[in-house]
Amino acid sequence: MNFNKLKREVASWVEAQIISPAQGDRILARYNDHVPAYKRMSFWLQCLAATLAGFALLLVISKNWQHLHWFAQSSITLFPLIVAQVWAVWQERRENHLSAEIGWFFASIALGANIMIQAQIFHISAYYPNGVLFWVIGMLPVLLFRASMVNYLLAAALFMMYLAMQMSHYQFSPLSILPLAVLAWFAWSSQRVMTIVPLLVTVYMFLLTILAHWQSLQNGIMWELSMLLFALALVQQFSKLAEDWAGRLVYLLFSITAFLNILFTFKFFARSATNSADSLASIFLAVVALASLAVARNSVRLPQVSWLVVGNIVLTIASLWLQRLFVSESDQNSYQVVRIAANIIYLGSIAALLFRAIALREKPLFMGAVMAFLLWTLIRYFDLFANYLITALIFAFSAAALVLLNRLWEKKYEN
Amino acid sequence: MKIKLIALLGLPWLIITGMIVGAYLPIYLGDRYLLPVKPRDPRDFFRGNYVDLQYDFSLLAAKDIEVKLAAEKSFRFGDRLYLEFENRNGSLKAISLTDTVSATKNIRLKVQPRWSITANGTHFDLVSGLESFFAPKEAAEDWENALRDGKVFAEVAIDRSGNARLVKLIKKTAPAPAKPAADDTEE
Repeated sequence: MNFNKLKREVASWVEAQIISPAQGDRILARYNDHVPAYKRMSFWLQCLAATLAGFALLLVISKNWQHLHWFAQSSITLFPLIVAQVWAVWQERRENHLSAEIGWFFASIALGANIMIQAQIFHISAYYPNGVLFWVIGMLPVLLFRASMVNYLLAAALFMMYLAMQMSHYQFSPLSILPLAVLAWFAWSSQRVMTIVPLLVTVYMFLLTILAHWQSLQNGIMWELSMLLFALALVQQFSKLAEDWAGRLVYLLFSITAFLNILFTFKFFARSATNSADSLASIFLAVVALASLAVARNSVRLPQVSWLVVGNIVLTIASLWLQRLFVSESDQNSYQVVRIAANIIYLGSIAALLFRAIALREKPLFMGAVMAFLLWTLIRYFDLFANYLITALIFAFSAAALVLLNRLWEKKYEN
Repeated sequence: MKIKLIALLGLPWLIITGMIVGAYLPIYLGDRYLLPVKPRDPRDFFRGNYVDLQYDFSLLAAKDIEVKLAAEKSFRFGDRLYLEFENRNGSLKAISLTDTVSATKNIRLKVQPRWSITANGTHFDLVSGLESFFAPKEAAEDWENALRDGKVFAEVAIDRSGNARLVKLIKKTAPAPAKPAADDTEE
């Protein structure tokens, strides 16, 4: 809906005495909050322009103006901050919320530039994660009081950068809980894919930072599998997230799990996964995620695919434990249990997806699953390059499977 | 409404002010010393070119200092340690390394291990936050050339708590005096 067009229409209705001015105001108030602001290209272009202006400001700083007085140097970044804040407040007074949001966005960038120029003037160490952390904290009021999506994205990106810096030096600051809490609150309030995906990445990195600090970074593949379960459980908690986006996220998690299955069919990855120890934190995370999914079992979004992901991960973990615990030392080197299990789990998951696509008559899903099946065949061809007969059998089996699938698809459509 | 606006406008300024005060305090309260350094020239994404400095105390041999670190404890990056100096004819000489502030009597500097150290180590690789000197690209290259011609000294302000701030670099061929002279300097 074009809000400005509606405003003009309402004004004409009032003028023609079709409705009263009070009714006109009530109609406009009804749609005022529903303007699809972020779909407006001009807003995003202006945000992009503000970002480029921010990069320009950082490059001006990088030139280094040490021959100037401290105040003159500081003014290079203080002036844009003042202008951006005044602009934002002024636009708010005029109820021009999009322009105000761009103002707050540039003020956030200018805040970072101010922190960096002071760090440059005082020669604060090149490793300066606190600068980035203070930058994010300075932006938090904009997230809390103005619910600005573009500021959320910037804050999330900067927080990830901060966590990466901390992780590389095995550092953790309790103060970093504050940005995480505000980012989580924002994502929970808006429940959109643009807020949930950055939150998932942030939570992942935050947990890794904590583990790195306590020297427990050797979590093995169990950690990644547990995080996938955790991400699935977290997505399920966002009940207001649009159905199609929730479905896409679940399919994304399915794709990552299937990709891990494919990797485990190779000896190198099977060995690496089997030999890496499971940390207590990984097991705890997996248990929490499973408990959360069990509690929310009646309201799980896209239940069949979601439980398929859960089953896939649980079976993969079981195959790793089976390989470690019950295979004798002499047979350990081939890692056959993990590799065979990975093949079966992958094919089983793809088959389940194919039958779901046929049942629902979802052509893109059907074609996607067929492609995933062909990918497996192709990978086996390269993996078993010298084993002509086995490769031939796989190709023959794949050809027969495709013919069967085609029959099933046609039959479903004919009925 | 007013409180929200104050938070929106005020928090960035509070952070900037806090940062400036925190950065300036060691310069205002501390005494200044000249420390010999060896520079090289990388680039920071946000702040441009800087000279990465190595001090005499950046890599210390255990035999040259008194080690007062807790035994059987591993210290790593982020753990606060104190390096104690003695003022010998105007130049600072590291005399001890400790993990407790009460164990120091002379000039102390807050440091941390570059990676990880123990009391039994033979060498201590330390960082103090004074290792980055930001300068324009040409100036940074000049500092590299200065290293070939003679010694480069860093003027450093250290307060009583051990907080320190790098003030400027000084090119000198003679041994460092106690207080910085009016040589070729760059802040």
